[in-house]
Amino acid sequence: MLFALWYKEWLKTKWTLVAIGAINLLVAAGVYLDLANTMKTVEANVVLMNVVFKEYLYYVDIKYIPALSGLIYAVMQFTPELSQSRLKLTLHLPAPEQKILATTQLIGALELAAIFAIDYLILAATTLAFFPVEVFDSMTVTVAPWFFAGFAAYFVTAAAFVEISWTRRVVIALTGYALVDALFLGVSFNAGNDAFAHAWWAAALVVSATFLLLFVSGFHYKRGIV
Amino acid sequence: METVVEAIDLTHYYGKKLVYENLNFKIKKGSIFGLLGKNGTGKTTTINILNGYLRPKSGRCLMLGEDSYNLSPDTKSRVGFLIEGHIQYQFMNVVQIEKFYRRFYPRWKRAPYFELMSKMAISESQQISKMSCGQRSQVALGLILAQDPDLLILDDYSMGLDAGYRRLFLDYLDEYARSEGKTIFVTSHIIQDLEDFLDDCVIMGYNEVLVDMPLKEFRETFKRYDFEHDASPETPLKKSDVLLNYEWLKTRGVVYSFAERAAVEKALAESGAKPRNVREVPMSLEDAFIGVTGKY
Amino acid sequence: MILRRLGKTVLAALVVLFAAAALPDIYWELFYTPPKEPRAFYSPTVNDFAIIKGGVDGTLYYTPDEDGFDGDWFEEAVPFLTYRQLVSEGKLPDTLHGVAMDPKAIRDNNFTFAVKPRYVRKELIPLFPLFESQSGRVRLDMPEDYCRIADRVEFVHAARNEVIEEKSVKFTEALAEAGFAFPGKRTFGNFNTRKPFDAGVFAVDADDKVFHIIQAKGEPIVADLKIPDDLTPVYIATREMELREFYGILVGEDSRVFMISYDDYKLIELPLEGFNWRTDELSMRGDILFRTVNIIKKDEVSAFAIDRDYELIDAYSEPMETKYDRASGTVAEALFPFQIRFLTANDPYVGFHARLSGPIALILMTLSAVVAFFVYRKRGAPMKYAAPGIALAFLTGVFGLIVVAAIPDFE
Repeated sequence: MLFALWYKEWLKTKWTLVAIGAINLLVAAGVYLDLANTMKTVEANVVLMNVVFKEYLYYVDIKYIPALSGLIYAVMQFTPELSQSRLKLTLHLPAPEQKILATTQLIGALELAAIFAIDYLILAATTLAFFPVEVFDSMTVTVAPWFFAGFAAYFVTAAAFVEISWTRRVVIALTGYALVDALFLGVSFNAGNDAFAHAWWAAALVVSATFLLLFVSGFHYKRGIV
Repeated sequence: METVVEAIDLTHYYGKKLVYENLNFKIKKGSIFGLLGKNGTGKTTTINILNGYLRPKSGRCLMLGEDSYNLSPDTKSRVGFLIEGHIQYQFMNVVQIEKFYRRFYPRWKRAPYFELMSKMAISESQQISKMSCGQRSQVALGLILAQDPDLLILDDYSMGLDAGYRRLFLDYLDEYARSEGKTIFVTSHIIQDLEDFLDDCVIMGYNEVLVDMPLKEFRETFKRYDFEHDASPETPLKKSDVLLNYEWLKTRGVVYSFAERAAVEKALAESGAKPRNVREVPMSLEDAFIGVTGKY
Repeated sequence: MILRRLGKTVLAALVVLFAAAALPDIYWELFYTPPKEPRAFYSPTVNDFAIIKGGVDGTLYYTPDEDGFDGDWFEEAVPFLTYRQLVSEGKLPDTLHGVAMDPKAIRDNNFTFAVKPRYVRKELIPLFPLFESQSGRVRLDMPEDYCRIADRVEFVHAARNEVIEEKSVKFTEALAEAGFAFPGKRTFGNFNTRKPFDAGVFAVDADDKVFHIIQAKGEPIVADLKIPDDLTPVYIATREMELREFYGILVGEDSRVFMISYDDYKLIELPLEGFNWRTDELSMRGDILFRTVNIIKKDEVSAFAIDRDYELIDAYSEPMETKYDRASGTVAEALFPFQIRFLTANDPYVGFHARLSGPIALILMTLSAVVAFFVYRKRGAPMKYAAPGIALAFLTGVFGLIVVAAIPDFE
């Protein structure tokens, strides 16, 4: 079942995945190129000064990319399922419904995770190439909620798409928007580095919990509860 | 005779709008059952309840002995389901979609699927999204047949199909049902194709069941009587158990009834219609369907 | 089944959480006007506090005893702020309190310090430039390396991104010799070149002792401030001034505030009352005659006038209107049983801040429960399913009502 569902998702979303992957790669590579260029034209100690004391986030370009990726992926994954009630086919497959939904969503999350992992590796390599490890620590804490936002956007969009009642769909979408928005919180213009230094685990927990929303929507869909 | 599907006192509303009340029917194993009715009479609603996609306001439905609201994976694997419009995963091609479904069904039979595909002029790499409606219907049918289900549920199989494809579709189904003793449940609003196909039928009106009997019995007992009259253009007729449906034209009238001519003549006379020359007129299935459901 | 139940709980919790964050936010966006915050300056001409309170509808000038003054009065009451204007108008007194008024002397003696909860809480990336304090040049140069004080002192060459071993060892040994306990905690200093000279950094060690570290001609000079055992430093602000009277101020865990005297590192406690660094902002303004400290709390501003021997001269406080003293605050309390914020002005980090409303909220809470009751009755839900929803509507008021309205609770 796992393989078959993965096969189906792959056939459905491969081009989406390629496009999202390309955007992510371009932006992440852009972060490297920008910084490499800056390091050539500005003295390293001045750049570091700005990083440490002025919250110069050389990686800020990536900020909304994961959330956007999650949103697009969910739309591309679930639009074909929901147009013409195609999800009915999927839920008629001889397997437990929740298992089908969980697997479908897990496949999406893993594919996104793979893309985000590449992003992060590029950011990590870029940071460690130019800066001491303290900057790497700070970068990790700063970008973590941005990547969480990618998963949150994905899970919430999926749940909002599958939901059949417009009232609930709006409630889920607004709540999801508030959650994603909160993951970009920070005191300064750039959201402030390390804003989630003490709360990243709570953010991770809340975002993980949104994985479960699809089961509620899926149940409503399956049973026609308007 | 073993019962495969049983609807017990189904009642459903959309908001405050009643779809039907206390709908009851049984589908016998090995039979071909038609749920007929005009658009909006609740055919798809019934299919959705049957497959567990809708919970009726009251009543319940048994599918292969299981409550349709909670079908087990095993039961689902024994039910082939054609969604209205022959919907399938349009991002797959003929080969891919077979590869996908194959893994879910223990009794999967590739032969009937590829046999059907080979008759179509499409390449293996053609995506379903680029197929014609008729071609899509063949893919959907082939997949259901390959699944080798005990019960086929076909929601408006005729939608969007021209006469040739409709005939092809039914021929396959007929052969399948007769040779393997499978049960088929179809809904349709195109009636004429089903004349020699159905064993049993239920004809739905708005909010009520109009007919529930073997098709043969329906064809034999449901009659049309034409007559002439001199009465006013205003009809004196009222619907009753005998005068199931009627048309009142300027100089003549038409009555549909399950009753014999004598009873119909009596009912007409009692209403003061003064009919002349009451005679039975033969009908096609479609005529009979319209006779039951009315033109509007 | 269990996943769906959990999912429903998660959805309900998220709706309540974010409604409790967003709805009050929208409400305050519409109905909040910031209160007028007074600032008090100890005036050498009035010999009392000169207080300014500004807002959108005009600025008030007053003293603790008398109000109704105007801007011209204020300008002359705070000559150390306005001396350049006064000089140009020829209004600067020759002497004040027996001290000759010379614009250069005034300028050299002026300074400010600010301590805000979020400054104390903010932990910067633990790297800093250690300036060369005796380069022999007039201007300070940014060093090419960055310093970290972890398990030892390390200097990382910024361009090469490599540890400079020799220098690291030299400084580690110097710190160890002075009694510094590794690993270091936080380091404070003025990390910019826009200052007349460099007075090094103050590093807090593993035992919460404070050390002064200067680099002079490439060599480390390390001094233990020998702060008292009962003092745990949480924040140090430094200021390099030609005056060379102090290095800066130090705030303790217990909210005591000290000046760090120049050269001898003597800690002089400021005679303040009621300061709490966790919630209050402190702003200190020093001039040629006095040091005035304003402590801004949520509901009160207090001011302390201190002479240059750090003896208290005068103190003043006035209550400040909070948003809950106003009608809009009462309405907010009535509307929302609680309000949640993830960010506050006092913390640079995202966290969970909940504020419970007073008993007035009970009205709408009860009403919400009643509405929920009727919603469930209309849906024909059995009590078993309705009870949790009604309880939620009572406990969380309008927030819970959204959940009740949006999520069907029985099947």
